Amino acid sequence: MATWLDATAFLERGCGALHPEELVHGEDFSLYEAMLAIQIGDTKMDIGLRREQGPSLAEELASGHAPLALSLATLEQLGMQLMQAEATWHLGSMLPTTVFSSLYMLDIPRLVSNPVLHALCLSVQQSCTLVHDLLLNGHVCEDEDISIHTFGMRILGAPGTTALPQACAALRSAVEDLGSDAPGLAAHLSFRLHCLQGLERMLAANADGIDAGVAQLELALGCLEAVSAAASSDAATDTAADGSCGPRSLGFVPGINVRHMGLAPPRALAWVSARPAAAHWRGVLRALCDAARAVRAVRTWPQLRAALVTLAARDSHAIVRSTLYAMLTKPMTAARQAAGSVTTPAPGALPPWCPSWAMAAATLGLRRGNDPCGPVAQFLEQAGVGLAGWVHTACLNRCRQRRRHRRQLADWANLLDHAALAQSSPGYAASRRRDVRRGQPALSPVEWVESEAAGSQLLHLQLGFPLNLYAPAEFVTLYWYCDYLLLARRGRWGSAPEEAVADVDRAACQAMVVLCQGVAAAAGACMRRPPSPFNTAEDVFEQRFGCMRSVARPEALTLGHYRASQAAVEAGAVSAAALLLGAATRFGALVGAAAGLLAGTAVDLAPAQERHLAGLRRIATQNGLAAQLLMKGTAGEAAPTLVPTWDFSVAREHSTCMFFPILGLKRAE
Amino acid sequence: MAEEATSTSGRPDACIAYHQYRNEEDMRTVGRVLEEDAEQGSPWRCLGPHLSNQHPPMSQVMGLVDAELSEPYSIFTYRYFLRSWPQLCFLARDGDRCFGAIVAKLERHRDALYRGYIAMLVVEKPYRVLGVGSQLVRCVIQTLQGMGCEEVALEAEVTNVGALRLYERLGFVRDKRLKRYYLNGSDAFRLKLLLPLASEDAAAAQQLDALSLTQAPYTP
Repeated sequence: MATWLDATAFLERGCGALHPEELVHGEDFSLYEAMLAIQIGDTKMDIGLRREQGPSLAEELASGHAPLALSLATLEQLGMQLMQAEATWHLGSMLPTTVFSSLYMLDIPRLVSNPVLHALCLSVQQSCTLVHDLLLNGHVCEDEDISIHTFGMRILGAPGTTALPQACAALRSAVEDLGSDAPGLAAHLSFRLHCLQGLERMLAANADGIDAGVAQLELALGCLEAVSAAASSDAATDTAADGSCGPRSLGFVPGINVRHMGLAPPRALAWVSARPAAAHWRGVLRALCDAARAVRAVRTWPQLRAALVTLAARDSHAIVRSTLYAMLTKPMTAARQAAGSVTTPAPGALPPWCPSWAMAAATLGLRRGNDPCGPVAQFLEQAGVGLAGWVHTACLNRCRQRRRHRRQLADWANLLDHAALAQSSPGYAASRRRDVRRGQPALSPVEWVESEAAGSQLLHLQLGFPLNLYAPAEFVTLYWYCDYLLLARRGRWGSAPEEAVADVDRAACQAMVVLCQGVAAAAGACMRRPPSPFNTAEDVFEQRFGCMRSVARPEALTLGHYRASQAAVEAGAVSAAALLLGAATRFGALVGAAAGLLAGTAVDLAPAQERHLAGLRRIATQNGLAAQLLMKGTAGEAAPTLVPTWDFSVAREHSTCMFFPILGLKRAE
Repeated sequence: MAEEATSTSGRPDACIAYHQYRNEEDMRTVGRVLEEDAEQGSPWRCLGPHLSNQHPPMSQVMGLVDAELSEPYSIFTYRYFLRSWPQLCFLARDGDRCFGAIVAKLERHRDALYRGYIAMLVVEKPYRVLGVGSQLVRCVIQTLQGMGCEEVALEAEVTNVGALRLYERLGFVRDKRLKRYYLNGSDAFRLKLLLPLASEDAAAAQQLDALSLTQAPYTP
């Protein structure tokens, strides 16, 4: 039993002994502890200062602010508001200030006497619970993606899908009871039912479950159209007067949960109105269906890699990425739990899309052998881990993806050692089998690891473009290095379409290098790095490309290599006009190459590849014209008056992993 | 806060001096100035007489940062920096008036690099576009170099064009993008400046390069 002591005298002695502005702290007084500390009385930090001691939940309910007798029209409005509340949570606010700022959501058992209201709120609670658990267990989302904090409040349902059947049964019964009385409300309840069932089945992560899940989500999309059509004709369902929460008339009380939420300021609340909420739900459901179909089509590692690169480029919502990751990895976890050990399940025990040693073995045409401790088996085991790590990276948000690709270079370095050991082991020759379909051997382990490492390096560099990390002065070096990495992967992509597109990308990188050199020579200042008082070109090169040394192959390029490649240009042996003419010629050839691939039948391009080539064709056309225009400017006696700009919007719309800008020219002011 | 290149300084005739944060005496000098400004609605009035009268702010730095930057910092945060690295805090004055400050630290990062970190940089609006922000950053970096720093890092909001331009002119590059880094939901860039190796380390690196057995692997 706890004993309470009065520490007042002790604290007073301590305060008296302190001099003004002194601080007492423990050993671990780091920046983290300092930033976490709340200064009581500071209006920017101390939420308690602003905390209104408003009525409690019981008092609000007793005041009649959440009546149970609601008309069907009011119920439909409430349903729309709860959908908006959930979208607001998904898009950056917090659960207690959005969905659970509704008095109806805070006491669901109270609603039993109104079956439709009860079914609606129970299904919303279940939806939040499913998403909360998915994100918590998914390991691919952080606070920056979505906040799942509940501050210890018991607002969600039982974990997992325990209470899901009850919610689904309530929804079915409510829809049946409504009949044709309220088609909009019935559509809303059906939307909820199909969403819950779709997500539940998809998370089973087997072929039947995923297919059934897609079917349910397609039905949910159909119901959503009816819901959003009804909502757009009813202005009353839009934002509340104060813009911070749902309308009080429908039982929303801003700040009802603030007393439970700790002292730190909550995230800003930006209430999502009806149309954006419907668009958000539509986007999430479509992305889930696309992800599920992509997963079901995967049979090999190159297919999985290509599918994930395409999906990653959409930078989908945290719910989509978590579900995707669950579909890909849950079978492995489930198989290990069923076997009661951490050993890798045998091939055939897992769906074909699950990253594992078997996927790596199939890619390399290797047999694992009978000795699990042999070098080949060890290499395949590590390769499976490497593939799983790459899959995890692809499911993160774009900012984290880029960082993780860099960190993963250490994993590829480790795998390279295993690959070298496997390749030099006595049992290696016996473990190889010819790829019967192609009639030629697959890559060696070392070649494969080198190719995958180059792929991670390429993604790390290229993702800096959509994230706006690079100054134009760095473009030459970046595209020069990317050209090298594409060369390192040549012949190792695993499919003819990827090889063909990679060749075009290489040509584009080389054209960009020449174009940027020409622009630097003609228009100068913006393409040159300003002289830094503190470091040199060597330091900047090291900062961008030093991480490439993490892995021994492909060999990292140095600033010396770069300077050697640029020697003629730097020495002024090539004029600006010649460079720009060269760029225009290269981009002209690129237009032809892209158009040829798009029109031809020799290579079966995926939709994402077609889109990329269409974008590249447009970029190359415009860059060729810009190069010619700038070249004409350099030919005149007057100094160039055109200022270059770089626009990545077309690349962002069309491309997934290689980004090239459009050069724009505007008159200098 | 970095200067805004498009705005015109309201104090072109300012007589600017820079000095390192010394001790509490320094704070009392600028504290008097702050109390003279209290009539104009100093944000520190809300803390009551205890701090603003008896303990001249930690005060000018805190007042400047609190007024100009969006992120809230507690007194513990200021204490953490100024008690541990007072030599990495510089103030800019116009006569007796302190109008700019920079706060930084230096620590070993992940048991590897010796990394300097610029926590706060603020210059009052009337004094911007005078190069004060750049000069404060230079003061800090020079001090950091003298202390053996290997790289300097900081975060800046992606929309803070002025700050980004200031740091990029000094050689910083955008190393990472941090999603939803600030309380207002904005992203941030992590900016980094890699400093040259000390001469003995540079010599060792050159010797290692000379021993390299690799041929040039690639010439376009």
